[in-house]
Amino acid sequence: MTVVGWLRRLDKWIETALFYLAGLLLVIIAGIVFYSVVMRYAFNEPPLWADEAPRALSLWMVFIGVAVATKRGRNIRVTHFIDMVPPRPRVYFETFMHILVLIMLGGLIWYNIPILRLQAGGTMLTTGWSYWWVYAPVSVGSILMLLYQSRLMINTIVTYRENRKGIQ
Amino acid sequence: MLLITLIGVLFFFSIMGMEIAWAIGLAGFAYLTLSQFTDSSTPMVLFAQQMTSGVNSYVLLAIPLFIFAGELMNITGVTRRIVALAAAMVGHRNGGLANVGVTTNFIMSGCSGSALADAAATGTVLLPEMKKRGFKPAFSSAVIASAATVGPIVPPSISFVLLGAIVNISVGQLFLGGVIPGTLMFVAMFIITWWICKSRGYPTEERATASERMSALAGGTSALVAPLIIVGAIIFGIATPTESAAVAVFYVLFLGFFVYRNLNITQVINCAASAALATSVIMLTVATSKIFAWLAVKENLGVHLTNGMLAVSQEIWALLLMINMMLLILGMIMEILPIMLVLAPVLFPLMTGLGVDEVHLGVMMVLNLMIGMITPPIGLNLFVISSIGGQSVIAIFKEAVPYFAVLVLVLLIITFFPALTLYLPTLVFR
Repeated sequence: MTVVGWLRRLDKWIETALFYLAGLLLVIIAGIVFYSVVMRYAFNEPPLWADEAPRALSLWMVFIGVAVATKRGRNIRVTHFIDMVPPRPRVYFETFMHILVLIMLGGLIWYNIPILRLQAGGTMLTTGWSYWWVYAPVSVGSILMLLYQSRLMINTIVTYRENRKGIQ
Repeated sequence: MLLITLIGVLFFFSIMGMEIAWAIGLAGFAYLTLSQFTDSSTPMVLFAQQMTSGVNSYVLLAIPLFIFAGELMNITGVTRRIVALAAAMVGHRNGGLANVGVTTNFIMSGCSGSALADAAATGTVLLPEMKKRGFKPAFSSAVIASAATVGPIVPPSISFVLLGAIVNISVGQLFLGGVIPGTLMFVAMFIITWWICKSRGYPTEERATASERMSALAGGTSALVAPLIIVGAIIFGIATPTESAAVAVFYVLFLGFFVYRNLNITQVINCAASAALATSVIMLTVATSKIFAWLAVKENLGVHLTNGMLAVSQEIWALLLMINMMLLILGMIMEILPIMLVLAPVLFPLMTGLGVDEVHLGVMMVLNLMIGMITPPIGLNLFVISSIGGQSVIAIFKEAVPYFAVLVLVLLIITFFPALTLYLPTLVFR
């Protein structure tokens, strides 16, 4: 198998792993919330950490899930008007929009660094976890989205070129 | 200038096909970047900070849990059982399978809380059957697309959870506030379907025998218990909406593993992963909207809007009518999530300050946006059903016009008779 073939397999494996990791986090969240209801009514001992822990886990679930959604092109968009634009100007405009999103994601990663530095020393009240676990998902998710968004941009250009060749 | 940038970037890029969440985020990012060149610069770090705080909420946890419960219900065959129940109850009357679709969506709305999920689930089951019976395909699609709009009005509702989290209203009160308006929508759509089908001579189903009815009822009862658990737990103060959503997940898991015996661990993880993905897409929009709403408030967008509306009229009924018109028009050209996330923090302080009840306004807003889901060019229900049934969006909308008309009528009734919305929340909570 060629290097490209291996990279493709790795890429697919990472996407699948992220997809199921997000699912597993949701199962854990559901379990914790249900456990807290049971503990409150059956044993009159609601676990205090059952508020903080699922919130922190949900942030990881959301930003990992968003990365997968970006790769799969699942984020909600309205293509009614762009569909009316001819192929050539459309590919220029779509590329321009991708670049804007990439700049914004770069900004998100950059400006989250001081927050991470500031919050890493603090700990949550009931779980004792570092606040790093709350603020890191944005950075991790943004790095993954940056990669997948770049890939979407390249796909847009490659598809346009292939279609043009097909027509010629 | 900065306010114009904020709104202009949002409108331009969301209409031109950028992912909605990024269009909202880009508007905030552009604002913050430009503000660095002014005397009153806003720290750029706010952009990253608000992205986290936007989704770091216990109330919002209800959304993935409701979606997870909905996914599990589909895979365990609850949708099929509800269709069978609706067919046994109303299939023999005028309207036939079309009204089975309307009724199924009404029952489903008590389980899933998402119009798109309901449209997809019922459309997949009913559209092929309706075609076999001779219903015009565009009409069948219009019925299902329109009937699914009741989903987010009848509890549980993802839209109400979001709204409750954004403007800090009791989600339980919003859930109860949606019961009567949702029932009115169902009745109105049932009647119009009955009338259209009768005038076009569409077939009805054979009347189910008593034993068939009992069998369908037995199959559907387990599904009907889910909304009772969710709403009951909230009403009686047993659980918060998030907790009741988790209870619903475990109830469906119980059904799948021990009652229907058609669920395994792999399916559960697959459903959870799909639900996590669907949630993430919504939450990204929530996260980017948080910074947008923060900047809109900073720029006094609410004050500008208030002054503009009060200049036209100071009567409450006229202001509500203006809001309805604005939301209906925006619902046609924009996706509903950003409209709600961006406008709610602006509209609610304005209208509640003038004496409008926040639960009434919330139900009215969501109903407005649901109507937007069956109006082109950006009616998401139309797109979903179009992809399932293969009819063009415009052909479906032409058949959906009577439904659009009755839903607007219900909207006007809800707008000008707040007691219909507020009766149940007042009875239980106030």
